[in-house]
Amino acid sequence: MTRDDLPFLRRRSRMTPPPSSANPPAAQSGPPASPPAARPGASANPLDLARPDEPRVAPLDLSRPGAARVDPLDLGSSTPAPTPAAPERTGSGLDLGSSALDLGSSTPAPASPQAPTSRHRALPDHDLQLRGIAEGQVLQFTPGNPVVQLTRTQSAAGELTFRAEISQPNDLILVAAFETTDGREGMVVPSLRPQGPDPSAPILRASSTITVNLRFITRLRRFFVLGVPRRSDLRLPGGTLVTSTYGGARLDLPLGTEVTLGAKALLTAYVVEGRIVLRAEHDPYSGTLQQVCDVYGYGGLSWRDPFTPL
Amino acid sequence: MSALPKGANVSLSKEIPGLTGVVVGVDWDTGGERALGDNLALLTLLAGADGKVVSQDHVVHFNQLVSSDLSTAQLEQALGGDDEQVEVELSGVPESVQRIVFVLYLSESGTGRRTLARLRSCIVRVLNLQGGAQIIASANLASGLDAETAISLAELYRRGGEWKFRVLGSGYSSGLAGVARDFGVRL
Repeated sequence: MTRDDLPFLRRRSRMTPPPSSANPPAAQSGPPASPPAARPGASANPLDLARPDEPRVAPLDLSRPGAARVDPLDLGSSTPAPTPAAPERTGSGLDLGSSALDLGSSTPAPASPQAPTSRHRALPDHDLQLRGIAEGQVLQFTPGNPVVQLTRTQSAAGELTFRAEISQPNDLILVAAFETTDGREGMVVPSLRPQGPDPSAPILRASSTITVNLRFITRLRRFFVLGVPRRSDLRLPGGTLVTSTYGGARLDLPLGTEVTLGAKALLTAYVVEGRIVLRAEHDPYSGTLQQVCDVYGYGGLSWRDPFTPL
Repeated sequence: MSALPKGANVSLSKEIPGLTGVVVGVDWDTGGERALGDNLALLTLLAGADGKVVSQDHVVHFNQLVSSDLSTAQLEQALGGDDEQVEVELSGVPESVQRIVFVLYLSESGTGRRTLARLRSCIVRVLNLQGGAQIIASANLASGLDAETAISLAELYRRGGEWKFRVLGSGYSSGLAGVARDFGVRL
């Protein structure tokens, strides 16, 4: 089956097995952090999820919302106000290839009565038609419903935690790649590079779990979580990848038991207008850590070997 | 005017007749402790008569900088000596909003067992939105903090057709979760 919802996946080809000498990340003292890398040009705009053969929409300005910037010349006469908080959506996140994330086609909300006189600008508020999750709720990612969007407040409260619930905890290592809003790419890997991008003020941490400090969410453009099986046959261990919010919401992604080529993308996340959009990949492909990062658009990372980022 | 202690209030409408808007600034000192300073955040809650936020879009913070009615906005970069500032256009606040409460909290990630006890000082100032002149300032609200991880600093509230300002200074040991529970914020 050809996936047409993520343009950069068109570059994907079946992976070759990793060299026998390539091992999953091992505990070692890592070299200095890799220098800031340019964004991979081939992946283009990571938010452009339109079909490859469709006209591309104008790129979304994902800079910090300028709502609070005071512009004395902006009388707000044309500034639409957002609608009140939308209730949790039950729509399918499956149709990402067509319009669900087509930010150029959604309709802004009508202006509120206050808009014409306010010095403040409304936040961008494109309706992505994605399902949300309430505090304390448990949802499951499925191939037919792989996407969940957090609210801006959920995306800013406490931390987001990713934990593998498996029978033998050592059978799977979780690692994460990320890109900051200033274009830096990096990885967090347990023992090797447990914090990033700045160890003195980390946004992501990797240990037995991956955690994202949401106090710094405005500095993050995207990230994704990968699984690296530690069994000798490189088979995924089954179990569940559990994503937890500060408010106690839980998102479960069942893990398979298939043999991999060393690493597998599990879950991707994009920060869209301040809201974290999580997508379970359910991707049949696997490869070395480097290969998987590359096909998911993290081509700016440097590597010591196919499983060890610099 | 001397610094307002906890519990004290002042009528802004009487102090500045014709006042159309204010800037509420919060100035804190963590004594150089970066992990504390990096994880402090200001939350502004536009609450109705029932004490709950009138909607989830009436919660203003660093990742949701403007209320949906556009009356209240947190600045991306505070001006002057404040660490955070929130502009409130009083005339634009919907009638359904009876109180605007300002809360400082410690974001609970990577902060270990830190609390606001290490906060050396925390002062709230109210400025005139037109011109930026200071109207009033609170006393130091950091004194007496111990196990708290959030503190409601002050509030703007309606009383008899006026806007008044009150210093609160009440702490939460349950942090953001406790604040959210009290004000109906969905996390």
